[in-house]
Amino acid sequence: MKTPKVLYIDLSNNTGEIREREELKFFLGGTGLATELFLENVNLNSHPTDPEQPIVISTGYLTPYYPVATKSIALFYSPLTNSLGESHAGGRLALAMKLAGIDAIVITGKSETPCYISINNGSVKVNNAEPLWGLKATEAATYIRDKEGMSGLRSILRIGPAGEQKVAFSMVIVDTYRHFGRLGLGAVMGSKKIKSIVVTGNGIGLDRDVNFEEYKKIFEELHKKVTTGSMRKYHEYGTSLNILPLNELGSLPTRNLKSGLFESAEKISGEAFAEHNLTRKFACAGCPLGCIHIAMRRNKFAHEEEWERNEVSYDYELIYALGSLIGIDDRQNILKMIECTEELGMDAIYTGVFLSWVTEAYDKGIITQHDLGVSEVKFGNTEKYLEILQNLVYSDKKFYVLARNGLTDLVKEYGGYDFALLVNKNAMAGYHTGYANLIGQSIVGIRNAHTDNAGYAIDQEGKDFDAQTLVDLLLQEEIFRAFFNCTGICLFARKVYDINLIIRISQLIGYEINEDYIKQTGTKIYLKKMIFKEKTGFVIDNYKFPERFFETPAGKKKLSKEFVENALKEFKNRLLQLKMEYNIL
Amino acid sequence: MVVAIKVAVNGSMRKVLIAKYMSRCMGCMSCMFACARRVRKSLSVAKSAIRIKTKGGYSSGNMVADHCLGCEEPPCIPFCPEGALVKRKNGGIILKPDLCNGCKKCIEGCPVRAIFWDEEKKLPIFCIHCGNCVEFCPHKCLEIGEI
Repeated sequence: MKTPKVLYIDLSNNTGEIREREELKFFLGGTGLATELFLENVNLNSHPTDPEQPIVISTGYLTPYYPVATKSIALFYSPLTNSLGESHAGGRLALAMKLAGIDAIVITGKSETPCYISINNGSVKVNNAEPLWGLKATEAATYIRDKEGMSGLRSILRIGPAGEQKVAFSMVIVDTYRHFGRLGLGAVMGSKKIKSIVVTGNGIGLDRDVNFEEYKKIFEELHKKVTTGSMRKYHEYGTSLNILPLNELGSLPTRNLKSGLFESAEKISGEAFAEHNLTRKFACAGCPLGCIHIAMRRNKFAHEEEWERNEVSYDYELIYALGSLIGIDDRQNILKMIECTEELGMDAIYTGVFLSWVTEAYDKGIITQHDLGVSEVKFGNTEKYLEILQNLVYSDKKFYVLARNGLTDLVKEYGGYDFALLVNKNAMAGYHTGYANLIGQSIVGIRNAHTDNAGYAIDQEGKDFDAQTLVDLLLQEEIFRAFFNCTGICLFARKVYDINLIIRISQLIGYEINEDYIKQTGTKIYLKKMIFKEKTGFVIDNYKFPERFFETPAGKKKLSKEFVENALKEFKNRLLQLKMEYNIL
Repeated sequence: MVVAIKVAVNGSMRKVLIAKYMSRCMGCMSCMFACARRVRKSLSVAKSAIRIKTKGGYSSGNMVADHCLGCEEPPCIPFCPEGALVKRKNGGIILKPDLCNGCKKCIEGCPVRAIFWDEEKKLPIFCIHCGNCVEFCPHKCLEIGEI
């Protein structure tokens, strides 16, 4: 095991230092290391956006030694859920941190004036970012890019105006096309007055004393595996390939999940985007797979053939949230919506769920033109949606001031919880596939994200699992992923990197782990996070699912509350058993 | 497609690395990892003799590759005060590490930013035009070709 090097930055006291945290080496890296650092520094008695709260960013212990180990993991106190915030991003950040000689960063305190932080080989500089405050996320990066050196081996994080305004679902953009999208890290960065963080490094100390011939052989086998066979789908069409099959199943949330079928699914499919809009693909640094799909947003802004263009990245979740969910079937309009969330810096999934709730609430008369300052809000009306998003960030109207805290505050004021597509205060991802997805996202999942335990994939196996089996499958996957996310390997490659392979390649670079260690580490990480959630007020018995999930058939089948209740009972028992077994209470 | 072939004036063809199709580059850096691993025998991608970067941010256009172009009259050679740089027969530079004093003047002397620095060995890094990187480029942006 290698001792992790943690860079501590305290903005209130203007200090930065690297500490070697030997006692944390057994948590490896990624989410394991981040969880420890987060729990050491978080204060449950103050608000998530108070200066003392930490931002933890950690890299996987296999980064940058093997292909596709590209993820960095952020942990923070989420202003959206008032609970554990965790978000994962690709891009160049993980590599840049390793090149700078840092395994993890902990930022606490608050800058008095807007700043951007430069981290270069472990030295920290806090720069004035006053002129950048208020700029779109896209514009801010341009200035910083020009000012800082080391192009190529550099990573730039930035927030948009939504983060500055502490919109609870604002995000952090990483190297233009990747994001710490979920649960509001943008607002936490904004509350500390950090517009941007730049990381550069020269790679000193990355070399290891290894059996080089074996290392080379394994690396090259892996390079081949991730660029061939079943992995090709991520490169060819990307995640948007899921639009048609999910629609076929009746699981593509449409018009605020009034339906799981979108009549225009073909128009917004991955195949249609590839044929008409795709202009190129990008990859995270160290990933030969390359799943980032870029489309050209093209707009005629005046007569006489006056055109403007921009390059926008798209994925399944974005097409769902800013397409079918809000009834937009025009690809250019979807791209326009994506571009808007990029510029303002907001989680695309939550933004879609927010807008779809607004549309239905407006239709039902719960909210009015007077509240919104916008009239004729209807599904599919892109221009109205763009106006609402601008207001969300900039308007002082009561509705928007509440909306900046997320839907939970809005439904308290206006009602309409039962058609708010929330999974424990987070926005649902684009899968209305069945019980495993609903319970996996709402209850079992640490981040209330579909990537926690892939319930949608369990549902799509098409088997009618009993409640006990379903809970076992969810927990098994959740615990495996709690370990897997210590490695830094992208979840897309989880089938290439099976447990035996992970053990072998970890040992090769000096991490003596085995199957038992993996299970124990995963379980401990999961339990620690779950207990943190419970401390922040999450009680399974008090949880109420929005009715909409039961009204609209999931995968053409209506869900029964009785089954869900049974599954929750099972889960509570299993959780208690695990806590006793691991003596983590 | 028109491919420009430059014929050397003095008749000696050079066989060097050409970043021919950079508009296809995804920025995965597999070439850099391959160079570090195969040529430098290092686990650090910072040891690579090729650098992939954006032209000015991802959204602004294509990627670019900084690498040795295998100049006919390499401008870096006269910058070396110790005579540590020797012209490679088929294009490029051979470094005589024992003669290098670590002054980095060769880096300044390269007009195409193609010489890198090994912080640990305190030596400049030169491309040897071996083609190991070419093998690992998933979009076949690179090739070894004659100029």
